[in-house]
Amino acid sequence: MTGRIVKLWRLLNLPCNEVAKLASATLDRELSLGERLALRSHLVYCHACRRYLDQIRRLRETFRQIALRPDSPDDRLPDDVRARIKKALNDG
Amino acid sequence: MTLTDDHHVDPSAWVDLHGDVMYRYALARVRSPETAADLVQEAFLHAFRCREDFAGRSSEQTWLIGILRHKILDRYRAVSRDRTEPSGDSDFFDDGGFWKMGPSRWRGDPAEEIERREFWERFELCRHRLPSGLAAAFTLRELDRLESHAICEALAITPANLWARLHRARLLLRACLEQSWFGEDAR
Repeated sequence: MTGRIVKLWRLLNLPCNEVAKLASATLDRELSLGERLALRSHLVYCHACRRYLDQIRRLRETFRQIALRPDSPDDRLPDDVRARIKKALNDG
Repeated sequence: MTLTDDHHVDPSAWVDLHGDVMYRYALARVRSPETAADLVQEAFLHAFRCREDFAGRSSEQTWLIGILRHKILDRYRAVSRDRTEPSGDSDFFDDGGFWKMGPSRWRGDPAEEIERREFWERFELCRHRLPSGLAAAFTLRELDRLESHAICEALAITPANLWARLHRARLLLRACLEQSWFGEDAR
């Protein structure tokens, strides 16, 4: 019983570096019940970790928007590369 | 389509028709224009050698992008082998596990900033500063939206290693953008 209490106490008092890992993990997998409890309890009082989670979520959305943006006309296969590839194909 | 029934192909037409799309696809996923160009060339050469394998079930461009994708994954696998474990997080946390310098309040909202070319150029710069092994995992997760198990299979790494890489990548990317764009002293 004591072991469980200690385990629970540790879970509810994780340091920021461990909570940051959990915050990142929310973007990739489902957290366990214990992990969710640890994360939520820490975020109640830690504004730094709250801010961190918010920012990495927003960056994810931003990155996905960037990926959807119209292609830039500058992103063309350079002419010298185009010629090199054509030559390689014709030689092959 | 430039691939006829007897698999005769005009390579020049291939490059003209699909080169730009393939280059942009590669450029979004690798560090440098030179690497992107090399990968596109490798993909075209491979496709030309295997042109008889094109069964016409997909469009020509889809087929070529598929070949390019494999070339990119091969490149990712090679760089992932060079870094078996991400570095620790002591850059950001002290011995007690507390933030050395917690995330600051950002000026501006990323969702609004993406309209500005300067912002996403800075974003790409920060992304390309990530160590190779981290960048590969991050790109497959965030750009290609692969699930964890698919990334692990592609890079031949464990789930724990993947999540450690993604965590490290996010720490670094967030910090870079805060320093270079969103922070009070940025820009």
